[in-house]
Amino acid sequence: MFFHIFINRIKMNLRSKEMLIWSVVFSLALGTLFYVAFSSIYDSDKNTSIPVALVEGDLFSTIAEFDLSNEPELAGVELPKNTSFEEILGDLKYEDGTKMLAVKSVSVEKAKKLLKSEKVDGIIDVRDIRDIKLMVSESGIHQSILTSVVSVFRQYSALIVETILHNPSDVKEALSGLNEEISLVSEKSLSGDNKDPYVAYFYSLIAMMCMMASMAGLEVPTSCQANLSDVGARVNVSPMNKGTYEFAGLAAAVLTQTAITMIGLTYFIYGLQINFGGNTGYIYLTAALGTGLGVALGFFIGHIGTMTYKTKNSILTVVIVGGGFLSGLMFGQMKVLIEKNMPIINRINPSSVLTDAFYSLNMFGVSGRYYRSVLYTIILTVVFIVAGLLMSRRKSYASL
Amino acid sequence: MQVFKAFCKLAWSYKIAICIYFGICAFMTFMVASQYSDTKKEEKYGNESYHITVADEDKSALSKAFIGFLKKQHTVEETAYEPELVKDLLYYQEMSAYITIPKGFEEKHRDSEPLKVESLSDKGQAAGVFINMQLSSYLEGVARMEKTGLSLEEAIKETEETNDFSKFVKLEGKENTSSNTHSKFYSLLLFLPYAVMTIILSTVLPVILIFSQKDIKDRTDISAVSNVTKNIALVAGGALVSFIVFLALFAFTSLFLTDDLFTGKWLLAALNLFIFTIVTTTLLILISAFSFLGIQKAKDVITNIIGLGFSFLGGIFVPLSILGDGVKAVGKFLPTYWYAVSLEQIDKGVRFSGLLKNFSMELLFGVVCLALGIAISSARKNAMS
Repeated sequence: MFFHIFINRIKMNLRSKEMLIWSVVFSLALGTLFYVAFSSIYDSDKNTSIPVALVEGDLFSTIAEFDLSNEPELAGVELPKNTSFEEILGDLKYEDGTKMLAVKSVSVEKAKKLLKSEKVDGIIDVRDIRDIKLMVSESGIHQSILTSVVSVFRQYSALIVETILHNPSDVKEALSGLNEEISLVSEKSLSGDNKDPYVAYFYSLIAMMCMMASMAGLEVPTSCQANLSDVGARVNVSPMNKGTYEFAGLAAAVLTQTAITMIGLTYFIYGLQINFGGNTGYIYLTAALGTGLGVALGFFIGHIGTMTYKTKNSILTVVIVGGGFLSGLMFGQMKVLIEKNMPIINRINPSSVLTDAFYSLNMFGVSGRYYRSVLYTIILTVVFIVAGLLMSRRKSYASL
Repeated sequence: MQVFKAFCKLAWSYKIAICIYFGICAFMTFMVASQYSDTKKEEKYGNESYHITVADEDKSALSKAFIGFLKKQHTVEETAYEPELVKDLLYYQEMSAYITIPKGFEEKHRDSEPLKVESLSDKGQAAGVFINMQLSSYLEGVARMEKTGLSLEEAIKETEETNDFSKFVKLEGKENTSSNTHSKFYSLLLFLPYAVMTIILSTVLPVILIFSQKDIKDRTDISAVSNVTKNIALVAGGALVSFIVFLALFAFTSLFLTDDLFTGKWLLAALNLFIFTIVTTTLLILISAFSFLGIQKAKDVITNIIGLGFSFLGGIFVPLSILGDGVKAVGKFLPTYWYAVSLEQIDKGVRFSGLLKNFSMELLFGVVCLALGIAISSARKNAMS
């Protein structure tokens, strides 16, 4: 009997073409949209060479060619020779080896023209070594990096120039201080497969797809409750075991909805080439478990009280849309803000739990945190199904 | 009138959905608005400002001076987080760097093997590079100054002097275009189109689709009510609900904009949202023209696709400034984009005449929807007859 109902329920689900098509369209349309909107944002903020104009002048040469031989106490001290600012700036590199600055040594007039036409992000003016200046046309991250570079040069110039001009006897210490490697900052980088935060929108989208499966779960109890549908009335007067009917319907809904989720996920991974981070097999597994949870949620809500179908549908809307929002679907940082202030919400919101499972796979791999999310998903699924089945028992109707 | 009454009754039956969406949207508005600062743009140069968390285990003069230096440019939170949460906050860019100053740092910073300040950030991003450069520039600058014989206090003073960008950076030409400086006014009103779209689509659309159901449509067609009267009643019903939604949302948001109430800016923002509401209503006409495709069952999915899609592409959820040129090009075909652009200009003080183009573009979308909706309905009707 179970398989008979199971097969028929699958046929029913497949014949509901509008729902099937729109569910697939939902994931494909929003996935494509997210891809178009977010695919280049993270890369655009990656380390790139900053175009900068350099205006050099005579004073630098004067300092570089400072005749130390006139100072008897500085015997043996050598100032760097044949080293231009352009070379020093050109040698600055990011950790990945990319050149930090693309330097053009030009006259001040030419430099201003380049800045005006936005061909450079700033002008480093070293005509007066005692007062190195930076000229920019707007604020931004490139300009901020340039201020840091100039700050360091101003420190060096303060050390050397002031010492040479005012305390030439201390030049030796000043220079040895400059040549000495000082490292007081240990720079560590965020680890993880894909550090692009915009991928989290896809995590939330998959979680929403899973939760939308709850609508299919809601159809199962609706179709066997006499007060909600004609089919329910017929099921109730039939000699068939209601538990078997519901369980078969549930299994059919899980199968159909999982297929829909898998189509969407496959499109994201292989069609749009989204790098979710982590093991692909686990991503599919998590999505399948999430869909199961979604169907179970709908099944559970469908059994609560004697509310109308519309009311139950509204409750599920709250869970889907509200839960999606809390997991970061509309505002990416929402999940982490909740984690910081009210982590309990992230533990009980199914969408956040699923989003966190995908995130954990990406940033921590198959770890305790991932297992915690999966365990919660499985436990909640079982609780919803058992509670739903228990609520469906011994329900009788005085009149139909 | 009968149709209008029936429309209102049916719409009222969706009161729970209205309340739920209104609640969600109100919550969203607050949460999103709270993420924006209320700082105004300045004409002088300013470095990019980031959210940095510092766990100061040293509590020394050097560590305090260092934190003070960071606070001059960034939003600095002095606390210690669990490693997992640190990673979460960095990944979601809620924080740009997590800095740990170890105990005994000041004491050992001049040793041959000094204790080091630990900086955790996304080094692949320009923000991480900038913050690390600032840290090194400051701390290593202090150490170098000390090596010349200066005391710690003098070295700190000297380093801060050389790092004070106001003394060496000159802003030429444009005004400061630093990001994250949207006002509360802008932030609160920016989110409303999503609310308008979801509430109207989830309450008015199902009612219109009910009237399009074959049985009901056939019964209405053979009744004494003419087709024109029926359509006028449906449009009036939809317009009434839409207007109530607009009023409720704008009035509710205005409660938090007491400084701007009844100003020119506030009135223009109201007009902007009102135009958007009209456009959403015309969008309903277009969607309901496809009722023959059996969209009744998929109305929630359609609502989500349109609500989320228009909001993402139009710069409602993600600021237009960070969206790529391609996305902006697509967004220009959507009313949400023109709403966001108009709101930004209203916030900057642009007057009505300067906004006419944006309002026209919003309305143009509405006219296209209306024309398409009517054309599809007529074509369908002709095909049926």
